[in-house]
Amino acid sequence: MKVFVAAAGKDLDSMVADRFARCPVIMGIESETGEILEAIDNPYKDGTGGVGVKVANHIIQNGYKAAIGPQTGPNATSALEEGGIELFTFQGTIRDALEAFNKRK
Amino acid sequence: MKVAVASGKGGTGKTIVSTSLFLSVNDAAYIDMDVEEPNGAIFISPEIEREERFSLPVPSFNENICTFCNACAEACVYSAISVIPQAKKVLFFEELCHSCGVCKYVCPEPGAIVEVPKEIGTIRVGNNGNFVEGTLDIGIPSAVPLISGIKRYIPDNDVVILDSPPGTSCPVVETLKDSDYVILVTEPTPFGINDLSLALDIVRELEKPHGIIVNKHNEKVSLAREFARSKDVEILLEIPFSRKVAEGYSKGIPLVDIEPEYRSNFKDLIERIRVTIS
Amino acid sequence: MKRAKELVIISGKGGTGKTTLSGSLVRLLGKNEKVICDSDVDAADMFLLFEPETEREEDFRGKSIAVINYDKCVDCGICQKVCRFDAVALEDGKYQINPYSCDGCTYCMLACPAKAISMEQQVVGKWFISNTDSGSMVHARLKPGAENSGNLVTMVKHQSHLLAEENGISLILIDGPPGIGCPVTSAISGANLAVIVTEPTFSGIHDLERVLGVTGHFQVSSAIVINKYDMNEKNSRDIERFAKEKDIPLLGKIPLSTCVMDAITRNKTPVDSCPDIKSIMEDILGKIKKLMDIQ
Repeated sequence: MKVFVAAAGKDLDSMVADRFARCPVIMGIESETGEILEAIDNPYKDGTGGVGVKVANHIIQNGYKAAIGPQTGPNATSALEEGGIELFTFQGTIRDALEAFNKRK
Repeated sequence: MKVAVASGKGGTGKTIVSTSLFLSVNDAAYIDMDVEEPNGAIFISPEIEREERFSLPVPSFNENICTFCNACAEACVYSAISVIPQAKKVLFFEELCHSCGVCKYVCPEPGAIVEVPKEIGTIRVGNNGNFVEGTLDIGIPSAVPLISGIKRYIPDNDVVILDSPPGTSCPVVETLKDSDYVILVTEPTPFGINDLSLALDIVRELEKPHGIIVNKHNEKVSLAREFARSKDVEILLEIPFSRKVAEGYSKGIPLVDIEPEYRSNFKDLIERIRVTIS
Repeated sequence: MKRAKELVIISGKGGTGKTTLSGSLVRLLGKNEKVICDSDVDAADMFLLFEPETEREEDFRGKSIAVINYDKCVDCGICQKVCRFDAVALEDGKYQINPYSCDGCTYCMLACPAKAISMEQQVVGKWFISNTDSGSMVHARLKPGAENSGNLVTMVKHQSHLLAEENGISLILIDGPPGIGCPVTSAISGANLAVIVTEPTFSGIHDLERVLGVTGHFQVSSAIVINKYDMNEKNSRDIERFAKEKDIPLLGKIPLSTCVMDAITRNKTPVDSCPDIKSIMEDILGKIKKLMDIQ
């Protein structure tokens, strides 16, 4: 499954970021293989308004099915929920997050 | 002529000065552009004759026509739109929208986006059109459209007093833009002078003739005079601190009713301003 | 670690003593107990009380605004027609963008048939991280007349959280902007407690009701401090009754005091030089800590 991660760094040993929309790195992972599909500096990070919606739009438009990160803000949450994106809250490394995500019910 | 009364800092006496000018000068009009906190009416007690709701256009999405192409969301610099093809839905975050019209312009499907009015505040007109105030609704992000909307209600009296919002940001610029003269009201404290200095920058950038009124003046403190000298600005009037005035103010009594001798000061002031700008 | 809690001091009306209160709280709280955040970015005054030594200074980039390339412009005037912000005017035979009015929406750029308009990002202010005797302080300065002060408020709050995380600090004390507009919305959103400083004047009460509307709208818990309460004791009682009816805690009443006025004139907080006021402030801080559930 194509999963979005709000990441603190660009590899699997980096931490899941502690802010969703303002995370340092936007990462896409194929959950079964752990293959990194994209890992880019978050262009919206220092944006000044509607940052949550921008990141949510990125997730929805790029065909992600789930998003791993901290709690999302209200606007992003409603957009992601409408988009049927599964929200998976996790603190720790991305590798651990992925393992937990794959074992989820 | 339009005389704007502004102050970098709130609570310096902007409304005291602007209502006093209005009450002292014959055939003047008073326009309260401080739409976040309009307080002039407390001192003027106007008879309101008209009350109108003010609105701005916002998009409304027809999901039966929409093809979910995402063009609107991509074009919206305010991130007010989220297009969700999976759910055949468009989410609109009204509080982020600036009513610019770009979404409708870029939409390739006629009828998918139409604009509907969204109310953002109230404009009240009274005293035969000589009193106008705007009140911004709670939770509306920008005061600028309402301030700009009020301008259509300004009568063509000989003297029009514009009570500006405090601060130095966009609503202030929107108010001062169309004025002929700006009175900056300050108080002789370090906060007051710091904020006056910011307000002065903006008035100078807008190239408006201007002068200072020092409220709560204290003979022992020369901060305002020193500042005025160093910046080469005229002090138009000094209003000494008085507990009587402060208490009257707290009850909504205008300065010129507590201390009637100020009426002639304010009248003279307007005549001096007239000479300055002619 | 947990996200730091936010205490924000606001006042519907300017000049009610918001910075006097927040400055006093800054003094009473320990140096490492809080990050000081001055979010009154239009008229930042807190720095006058604490002589900050600036450690970091960054440009704040606001919105982009439209710029016309006159080599390509064909004087058709479509930009003026489409602009909803009255930002385009015909002056000296040329269409010109007024940078104060332009909202950066890109309509003119999209509509221009000659592709003569581009968007350029503006530096609209600066933000700072500074050291003071009373702790680290994040503050900012908006260019006079610049827009987007709400966004700069969001930025200084964001930087305050980063600083709090870095130093293991669990409280952010925010001196908020006056009014009820966008900057206030940004200052209170996500706050754990908003303390509203009011005064017993007609305007003060009027503005108190409006600002409570805002905190209510954004579901932020509120509490009230009445400043200069003895200027009009009847109005003060009305405020107290009002607070009781609305079930909003009244944290304290501060008298009109020449000592406070003198202190502010010398860039001091009343905690430094007015013992009577200091004890009132300590009492207020105690109640705040209880409400916010902090030690």
